[in-house]
Amino acid sequence: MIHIENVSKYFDKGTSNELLALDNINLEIADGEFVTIIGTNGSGKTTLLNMIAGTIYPDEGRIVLNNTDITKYPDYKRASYVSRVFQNPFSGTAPDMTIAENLMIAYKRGKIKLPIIGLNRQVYSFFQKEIIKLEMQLENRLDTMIGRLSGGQRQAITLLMSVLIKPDILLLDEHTAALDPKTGGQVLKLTKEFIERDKLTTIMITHSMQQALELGTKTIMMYKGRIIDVLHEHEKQTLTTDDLLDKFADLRKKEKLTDEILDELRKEYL
Amino acid sequence: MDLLFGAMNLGLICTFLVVGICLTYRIYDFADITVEGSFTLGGAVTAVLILDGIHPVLATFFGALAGAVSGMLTGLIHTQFKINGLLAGIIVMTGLYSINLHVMAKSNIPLMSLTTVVSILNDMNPGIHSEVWMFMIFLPLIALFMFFFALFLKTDIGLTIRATGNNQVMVAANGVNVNAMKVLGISVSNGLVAFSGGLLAQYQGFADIGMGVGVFVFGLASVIIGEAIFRRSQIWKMVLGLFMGSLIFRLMVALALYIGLNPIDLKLVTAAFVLATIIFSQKMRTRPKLTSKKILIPAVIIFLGILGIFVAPFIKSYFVQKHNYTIAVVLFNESDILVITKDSMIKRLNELGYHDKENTKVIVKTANSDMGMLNTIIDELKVSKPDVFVTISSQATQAVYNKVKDIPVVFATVANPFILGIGKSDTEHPSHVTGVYGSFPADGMLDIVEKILEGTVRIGEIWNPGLANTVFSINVLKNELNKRPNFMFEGVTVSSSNEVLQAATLLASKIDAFVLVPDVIVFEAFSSIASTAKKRKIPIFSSDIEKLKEGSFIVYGYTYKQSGIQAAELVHRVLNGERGIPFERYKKLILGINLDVAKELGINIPESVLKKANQIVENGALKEYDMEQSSLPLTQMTKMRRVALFMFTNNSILDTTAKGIMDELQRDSFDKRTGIEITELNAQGDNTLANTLVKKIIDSQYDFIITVSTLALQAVAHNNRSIPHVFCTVTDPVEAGVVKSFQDHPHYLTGIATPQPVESTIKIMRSIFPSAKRIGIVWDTSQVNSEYCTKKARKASISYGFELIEKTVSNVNEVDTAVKSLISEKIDIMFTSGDITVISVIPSIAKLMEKYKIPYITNNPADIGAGVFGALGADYYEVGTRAAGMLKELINGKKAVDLNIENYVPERLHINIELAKKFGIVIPKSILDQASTK
Ligand SMILES: Nc1ncnc2c1ncn2[C@@H]1O[C@H](COP(=O)(O)OP(=O)(O)OP(=O)(O)O)[C@@H](O)[C@H]1O
Ligand SMILES: [Mg+2]
Repeated sequence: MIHIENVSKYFDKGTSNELLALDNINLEIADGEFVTIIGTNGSGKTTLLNMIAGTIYPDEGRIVLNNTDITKYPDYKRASYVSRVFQNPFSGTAPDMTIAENLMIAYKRGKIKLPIIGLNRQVYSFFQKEIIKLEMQLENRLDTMIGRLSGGQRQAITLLMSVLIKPDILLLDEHTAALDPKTGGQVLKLTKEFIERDKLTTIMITHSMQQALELGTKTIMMYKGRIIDVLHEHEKQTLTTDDLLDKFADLRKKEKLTDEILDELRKEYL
Repeated sequence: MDLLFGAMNLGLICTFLVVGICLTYRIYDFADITVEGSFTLGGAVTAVLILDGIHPVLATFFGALAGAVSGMLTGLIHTQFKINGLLAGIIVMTGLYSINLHVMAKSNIPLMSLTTVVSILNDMNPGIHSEVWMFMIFLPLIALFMFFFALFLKTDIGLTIRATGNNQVMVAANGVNVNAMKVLGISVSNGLVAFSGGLLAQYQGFADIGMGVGVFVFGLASVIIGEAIFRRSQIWKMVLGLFMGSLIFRLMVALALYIGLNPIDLKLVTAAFVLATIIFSQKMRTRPKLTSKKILIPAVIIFLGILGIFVAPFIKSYFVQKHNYTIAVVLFNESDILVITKDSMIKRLNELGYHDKENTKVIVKTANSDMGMLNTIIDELKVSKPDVFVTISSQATQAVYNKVKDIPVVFATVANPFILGIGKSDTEHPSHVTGVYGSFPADGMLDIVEKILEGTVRIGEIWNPGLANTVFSINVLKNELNKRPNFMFEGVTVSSSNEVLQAATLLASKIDAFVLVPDVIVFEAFSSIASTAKKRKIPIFSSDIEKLKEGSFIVYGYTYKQSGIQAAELVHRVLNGERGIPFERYKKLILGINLDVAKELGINIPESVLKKANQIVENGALKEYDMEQSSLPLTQMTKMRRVALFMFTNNSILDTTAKGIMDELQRDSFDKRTGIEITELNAQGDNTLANTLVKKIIDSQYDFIITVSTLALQAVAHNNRSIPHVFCTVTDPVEAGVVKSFQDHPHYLTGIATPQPVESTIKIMRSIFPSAKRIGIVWDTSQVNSEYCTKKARKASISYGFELIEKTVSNVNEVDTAVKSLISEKIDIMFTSGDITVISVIPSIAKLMEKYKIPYITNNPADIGAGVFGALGADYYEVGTRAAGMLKELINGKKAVDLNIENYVPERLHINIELAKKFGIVIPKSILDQASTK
């Protein structure tokens, strides 16, 4: 279970470029919940994920994971609880190392690395069994340098790496956006399978309204560093385009949004 | 041998450096300049600890630890303060310079007489050539290290290190503390580099403040060569590549020097090479599909680089003047026998009026026992269209005979030309070929053996069946033995010099005497036979006169000097147009007896044999007796002797000294009369290069060495164990660690010490400037010499009632500031002495002093021309002359052990009268009288 309490984040504070990227965010995600986030460009989605992963720290508020305050933990310390897949398919793997070696790094996520050869035959065949699940014919290419693979293959491997050891929370940042529709679909399918199999607590950023509605137990809408709406599972299932439009109209009143912004939101998601 | 194995040993020692640089540069993608400082730090810490009596192995590890700490510092600066890695490295490297000086307390620590890892290894040496022995020990150790290093990179932590260099975002997301990993990696890297430094200090016999200069680029060059051989696809290949890269780089340097590349150009060539390879490998990275070309292009670059080195001398020779005659000399290898033949031939040619580089061009090429190379050499020589080929050894003769049909050939040091298929008899042979030959005089040798050893004698023979000359001699010997029932024959064949020791040990239990026929391969390892024979008390009867002192009991055979002389005379006839000259046999045999060995073995030599001896060794000294059979005067028997004039760098003092040396040696054509040839070698201020040059001097068996400057002395003294050596322009040889005292010095080493006359200078200052109070001095703390002078100045200042105001600098750029701050402190007199750093800016100091009307006094008379007020110092031209005089005594037959080291300071006082007038200073008459020029 993760609690985000009153978290705010400024960039370039005190300069003329000052930007409030996260504005008093409150969010609670229960174990096994699958949250999707939508929002316009620059609305702070990635910043929120980075905050959870620990690559940036909040200016205000705190983050509590399973009753531990992890607000001040650096990223490498949080890695034993949190794993993530990036938007850029090249960010998640080391190109000059083999598939097996990359998987080994993930296999030791958050553990102490000793000067022993941990990548033994047993571990190797475990990797082989796992990689079959990707259905990309990679099981006999474990000794290939990752740099030789396609972006989709690399992203699939990054996904596998993130769930190789069950994380307390899985962060996905538009991880299919840079792939062609077919490979993207395959990676998304794998994502669903892994999440269901391990009952993973997940946060996924997406730009596709359809994905946001179809997947997950809860959908969060972000705008200018704020969470402007939360859709629960029962709402999502029954939601139609018209409902969504109504929703936007409601929002206008509640959040005092201008028509322009509504237009923007409509364009983005409908 | 020395050059080759010396280069490979350097390569092995530098493997750690290369691995360290690869770790940061390749794995972390981070150019870490710290290594230039930590390399020296490793050497410094190791040297100081050894000096303190710590076990050298432990000392070396502490050195590595110190390096690791300095690396950690760079890592912390880089990660904690987010400072660019290159900058962090430069900061730490700069700081390390001072730290290193503090650690060493002076700029150079000699380790020669101390127990080091290298000296321990040498003590265990069973009698193998010391460089080869070192190589034999280092190679497996370092191979083992590389194996474990490769293994390490496959462990969990190794994987993490590699991934950190490859993708920081990814490792951070997987729970790796990137900063800690970086600090760890940089520490390990610098630890390895410092380990290299510690080993190098022990190997070259001293630690020096400048030893780290340039190691980064040299290490990088090795990394790049390694990658060009094996792309970084697999860890094993990468590590093997590094290992090979380090060796190949050093070999390339040795090769370049060997071929005659000017050492000045070495760094330029290296820099260009590194640049070209980096550019190409980057281009390749952006076009990853051209995999086969990936390997090809770096290979082509290396090839072109090597080709360039080869071609350079040709281009050079294209521009030099044409000669009347071109004589091409081909040797199969550098074995004594062949080199002696060559040298005596050149000497005799000289006497006959063919002067190399004047009216004749003598091109000498050696094939290093490589048949392939032999053929290349001949092809190459044919291009320069020589007037005659001289072939020394059967192999060279055969190869040239096969390839050359239209140019006259003169052969020498061949056992039997007929078995090589050249002609049928002395008079029936192709008219363009002639030469001198002779095989082992088996009958005479066996006569002598019979006279000395009684009863049935079991003789042992070691030979290489691959040498035609030798096989012929063996057959002659066997034929002779068949006629003599009182002899039994035991033989072992070898295929290389390395097997000789084993063969000798094998034979030793079965024989009464070694009888050795001429064999260039076996004689290369003569020392292994000698040591075995000595242990087992077996006499050696050898055919090579050069081996008499080295432990032979009796030597009987042809002298190869004679072979060379006769060959020269044949060349002379050929050049005069004669063809169809009959083959000649050697005209002279020589008998040498080593009485020291006789005593050890307890063998009495019959008077009848003793009487015939031409050479006798007794109590380590060689006596020559006139040879009745000799048809030539004795003077012609001395071979051309070679003198190496070795300098560490160039500056006005060293150059003046060198000029004095050269002038003295050439005075009244001393060099021509005594047949000496002087070669100047200059290390350009580079430690490693100095080391390689010294190896070259020893390897090519120069007869005498003369060194100018302390560093040159140290570099030679560490490696040389026998070549007579005179040093000069050295402040204090005892301080330099090469001799125990002026009386107690190695038997081959002597020279002169010329301390700066600091005390007299201060005394004179007092008499010229009775009311002066403050003397300003600028000196570089890293120069042993300056330190020495400053210490003396401190003492003398007190005695003469001055206050000495010191400003220290660490490089030439800081001098100006130092001088200006002295001026602001109102000094009355400016003084600098014996400081190599300050030397180059003396003219500008002088100018400043003139402006502020402060008299500037130095210890180098040459400075008067640079505008100083006064100079009291040794006349270095005279110093050079005096040193050359000492060398002449050695050349004339004196032993270095009998010449004591002397202090020699030919003091010269110069006063700049014009300046004195300008400053309004009246110089006392007593001083003026003393001054030599005014
Ligand atoms: N390191 C940073 N320094 C300064 N500003 C930043 C930084 N990172 C993000 N921002 C700014 O914060 C705001 C939120 O950025 P963020 O990346 O979280 O948006 P996002 O919702 O993920 O957008 P997108 O849909 O385009 O990925 C943006 O205006 C961005 O420019
Ligand atoms: Mg984003």
